Amino acid sequence: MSKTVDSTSRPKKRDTWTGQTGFLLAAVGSAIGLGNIWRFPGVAYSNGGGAFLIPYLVALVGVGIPILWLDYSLGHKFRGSPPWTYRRMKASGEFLGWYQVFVCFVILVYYGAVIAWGMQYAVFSVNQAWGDEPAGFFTGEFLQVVDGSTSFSWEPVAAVAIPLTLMWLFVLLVVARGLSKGVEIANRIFLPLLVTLFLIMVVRSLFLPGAAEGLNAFFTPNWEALGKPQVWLAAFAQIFYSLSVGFGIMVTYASYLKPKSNLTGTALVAGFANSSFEILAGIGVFAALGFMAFTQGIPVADLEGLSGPILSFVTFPQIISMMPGGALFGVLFFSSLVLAGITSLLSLLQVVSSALQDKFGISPVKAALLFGIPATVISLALFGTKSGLNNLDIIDKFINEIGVVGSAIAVTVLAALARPRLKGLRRHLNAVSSVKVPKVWDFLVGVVIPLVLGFMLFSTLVTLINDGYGDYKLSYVVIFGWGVLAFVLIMACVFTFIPWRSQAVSAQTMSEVLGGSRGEEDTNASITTRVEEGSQE
Amino acid sequence: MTSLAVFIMIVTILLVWGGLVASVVLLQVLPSPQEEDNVSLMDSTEERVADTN
Repeated sequence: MSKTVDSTSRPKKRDTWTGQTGFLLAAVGSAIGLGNIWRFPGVAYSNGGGAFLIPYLVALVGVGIPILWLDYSLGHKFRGSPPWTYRRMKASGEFLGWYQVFVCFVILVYYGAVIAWGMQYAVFSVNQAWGDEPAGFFTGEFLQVVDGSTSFSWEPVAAVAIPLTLMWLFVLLVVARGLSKGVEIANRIFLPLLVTLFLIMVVRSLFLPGAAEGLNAFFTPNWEALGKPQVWLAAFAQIFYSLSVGFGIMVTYASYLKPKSNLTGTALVAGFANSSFEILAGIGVFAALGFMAFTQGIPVADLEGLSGPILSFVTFPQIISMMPGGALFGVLFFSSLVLAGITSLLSLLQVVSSALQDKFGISPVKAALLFGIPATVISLALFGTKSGLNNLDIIDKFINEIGVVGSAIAVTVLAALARPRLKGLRRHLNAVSSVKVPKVWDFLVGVVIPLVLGFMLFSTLVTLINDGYGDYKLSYVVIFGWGVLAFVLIMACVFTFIPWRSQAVSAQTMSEVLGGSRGEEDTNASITTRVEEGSQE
Repeated sequence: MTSLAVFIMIVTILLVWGGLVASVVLLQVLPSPQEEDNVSLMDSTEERVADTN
C-alpha cells in the first residue's frame, strides 16, 4: 500500500502555527460555532436552567477536556492528518482517518449553507425584509422550501445560491493560502471580531426592557432535573458537539504545533473559552427573549422557537423588528453568526486539505481545488435548492449523531488498544505540558467516554430505526440519512486503498535531520518532514 | 430576577469565566518541561523510524 522514499534532497517542511497564540485562536475559533449561539441557550434552559450548570461542568471536566487532550496528543505526537496519524498507530487505522475526513467533508458542505443564510439575513436586517411574518418569510419567500413529506426539488434558490457561491470562493481562497498564511491569519482577525461584535450585542440585550426576566428564566435552577439521566446526557452531548472533538479537527490542528507546545494548558484554555462564550450566548439570547416576552405580555416559558435555526432565523428576526435600533442589532447578531460559522468551517476544510496534502504530496492550492470544486458543486446542488432545508436537516441529524459519535468512540478504542496506548499518550502530554495529566485520564478516555458515547449512539440508532426521522418521506431519509453514512464509509474504504504518494523520510534521513537540527526550535517539524516521490528525481 | 437566579448567574460566571482566566494564567506562569520533551520527541521519532522501515 505504501513505499518508503529514501531521500535527503529538498525535504519539504510541514507548515506550523506561527506560535501558541495562533493555534489557540484557531482552536477556540473552531470550537465556537453556530451551536454555541443557537444550541446551548435552549439546551440549558430546557434541561434544568441554572441547575444545568452542574452536569455541564462535570461534562466539561470529565469528557470535554480529556477528549481534547486525547486529540491534541494524537495530532502532536504523530504530526499528521487523521489518516496519517491513525495509520502510524495501526495500519488499518488509516480507514478511521479517512472516515473522519469524509465526515468533515459532509458537514462542511451543509455548514456553508447555514453561513450563507446568515450572510443574507445580515443584509435583510437593515430593512427587516422579513416583515411581520419571519417564520413564513424564512421557509417561504427566502428558502422556498418544498414539503419534505411528499416532494423533492433540484430547483435552485438564487437568494441562497449566490451568497453560498461567494462564501465558498472566500473560504477556499483562505485554505489555499495554507495554514499559517491562510487559516491562522483568518482566525486572528475573525475571532476577536466575533467576540467584540457579540459582546456589543449582549450588552445591548441586557439594557432592553424585560431582559432581567429572560435571565431569571435562564438561571433559575430546577434541581429536580438533576435526577433525570437525559439531562446529564444532554450536558455530555452539548460539551461533546461544542468542542469539535473526536472527528479529526483537533488532531489536524495539533499536528501543526511546534514540538515545544504546552498541550494540556492550551486545551484547558480552549475548553473554558468555548464554555465562556456559551455562557455569554446564553445571557445575550435570554436577555433578548425576555424583551420579546415582555413586549408580547407573556412569560418567557410560553415562548416558542428557543433553539436551532428557528431561534436564529425566526425568533431573532421577530425580536429585531420589535426593538428600537433593531437593524444594528440584527447586523451584529447575524454577523456574529457568520463569523462563528466561518472559523468553524475553516477547521473542517483544513482536515480535508491536510489529509489530501499528506496522502498525495500536493500543495494547499491543489488540495483546495481538488476537494473545493466538488464541495461547492454538492453544496449548491443539495442546499442551494428548494429542498435545501430538508436535506440539511436530515444529513445534520445522521452525520452528527451517528457519524461523529461513532468516530469518537472508534478513536478512544483505537487509542486504548493500539501503541503507544493511553499510557504512552499521557506520557507524551506530560513530557511537553506544564499541567500534568493524572492517571485517571486513562480510565476516563478508555472506559467512561466510550461508554457514554456508546449509549448516546445506541439511543439514536434505536430511535431512528424504530421511528424514522421527522415527517420526511422514507426514501429521502434513506438517501440523505443512511445513504450519506454509507457514502462516508465507502469513500473511506476507497481512499484507504489508494497508495500514498507522500511518505515520511527514511530512517537514515531522519537520523541526519535529527542530528543536524537537534536543539533547534523546529526539530520535530524537521522530523516530520515528508518527501515527495518526485523530489528524488 | 430572584436572588437565587442572581446567585446561580454569579456562580456560573465565576466558575466558567474564572476557569478561563485561571487556565490562561496557568499557561503563562507554569514553566514547560525542557528536558523531558526531548525524551518524548525522541520516542516518537524512534517509533516513526521503526514504522518507516
